[in-house]
Amino acid sequence: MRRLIALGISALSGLMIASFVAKNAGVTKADVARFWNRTDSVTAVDLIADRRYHLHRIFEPNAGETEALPAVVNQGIDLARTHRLREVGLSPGLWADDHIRMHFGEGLYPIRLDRTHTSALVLVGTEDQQAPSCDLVDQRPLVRLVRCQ
Amino acid sequence: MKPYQLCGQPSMHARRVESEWIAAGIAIIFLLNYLSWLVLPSSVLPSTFIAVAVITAIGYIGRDVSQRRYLMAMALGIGFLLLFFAPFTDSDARSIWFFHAKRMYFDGSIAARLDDYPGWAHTSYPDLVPAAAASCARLFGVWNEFLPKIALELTLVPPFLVLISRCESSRFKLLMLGSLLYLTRIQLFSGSMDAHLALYAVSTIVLLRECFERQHQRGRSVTVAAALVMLFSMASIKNEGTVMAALLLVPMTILLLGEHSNRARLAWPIALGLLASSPVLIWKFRLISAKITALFAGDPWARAALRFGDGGWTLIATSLLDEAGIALVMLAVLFMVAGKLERLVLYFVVAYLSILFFVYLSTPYDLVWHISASVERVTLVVKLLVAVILILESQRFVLRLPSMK
Repeated sequence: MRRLIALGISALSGLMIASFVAKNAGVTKADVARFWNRTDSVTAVDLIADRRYHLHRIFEPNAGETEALPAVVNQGIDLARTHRLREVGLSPGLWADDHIRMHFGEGLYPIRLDRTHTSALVLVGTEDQQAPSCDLVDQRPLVRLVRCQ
Repeated sequence: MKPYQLCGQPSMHARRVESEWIAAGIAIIFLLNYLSWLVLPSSVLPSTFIAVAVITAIGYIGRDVSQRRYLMAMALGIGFLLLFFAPFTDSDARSIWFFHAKRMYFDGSIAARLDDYPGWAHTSYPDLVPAAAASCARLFGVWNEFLPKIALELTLVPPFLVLISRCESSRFKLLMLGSLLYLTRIQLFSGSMDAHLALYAVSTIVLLRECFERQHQRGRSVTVAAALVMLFSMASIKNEGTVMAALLLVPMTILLLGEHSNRARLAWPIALGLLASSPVLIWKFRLISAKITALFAGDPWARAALRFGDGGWTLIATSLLDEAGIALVMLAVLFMVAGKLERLVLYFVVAYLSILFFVYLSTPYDLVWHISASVERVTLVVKLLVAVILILESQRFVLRLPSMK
């Protein structure tokens, strides 16, 4: 009986640790279901094979930004860095989206977002209407950098 | 059975005291690192402190391995590898904690944050872990999404050392580790500070509880010192941590006043407490000077009265009970089975849940949104605490059976 309890404690601990490792390695419930159904030759290693591992990138400047931020934010950051801006505004369309605005705020830094909406250089989403008084400076597929009067 | 009778085994007791020394030492290095970002940000101190913390942790783990104790080494090794599966995606991690670290790295100080840019980064929050992350980045001279993550694991070393060293057998060490990881799950490395805060709070309570139980035992001063350092570390992690630390200062004061009838012997705990609390006190003072108010400005009493009127309080009560109810049941079971009333644990749980109740009652945000966004995270400490106490009490019971040692 005591051995059974001891075995149970060890098995439970092992399961809890395995659950933690799987969750932090990005294995989802769907992955686990796929594994147990075994409709193909999937193995535990295959489950995370399509997810990139980044240990080798820990000394690479700005590594991980592309994976962490929405495409429109990445393209906006690229424009701001290419033109060596210190501050940039966001169009009303981009500013109104909390998710996008917050990602621009943290992703752009040390380039600052203009909170007073008076900056001449503004990032505009391609779906936003561009003000008539603004000239195109540069663009990417999802975002444009414009200079407004 | 006398409390902690098994501490009589000299090697186990010595190892526990040693773990407390190391845990308190590493925790105080993180506090000094935070302090150096506040008072001497442009010096080499932040990088130096983080390097010392890394060397201390690696040295201790290396010694563990040389003595054929592999659990902490394996846990930290696997944890390290898990850090690099993905960059942060949690919104709190990106917009608050690691944005603070990014600002420290690029601005070269914490004080620059007092400009409250960009307006949604919760400037008032303390920065123990972000300061460690910024120091990691400064040490290697690069900012990215992965390197600062190392601070997440480094700052976990003190609470893990404290909690795992409470276990006498490898089986219980494994159970403790498994439970801590399972309960904190994705939150541990997500970059939101709730799991870190919960672990520091639980460690402080476990140490305090042991101080009350181990009256006049050799090495108790180290436990008191470790509890003090963990308590003030907790206050420097999050604003909720400051509240928890204030709650736990009451039993800590009772402990110190009860133990030291000679007031002159209170000098070292007071000096240690002042040193450990200085970063959070300096930060709060600067916030007041910069007129940066807390989130709960306005009239919280009026909002609370309103929610009592519209029945909002029932939603709060049921949400808290849904999350923490099982922990309360477990405490009751422990009382019925072992006949032991966990006064300190009960005091903390009831006081903390009461404060949470009032915080939700007076929140300026939409109540449903606020509860759904946070109740699971803020009650983590209660679940974790009761799980740890149950494991420690089970161990005490099981180890009385000779064949289970």
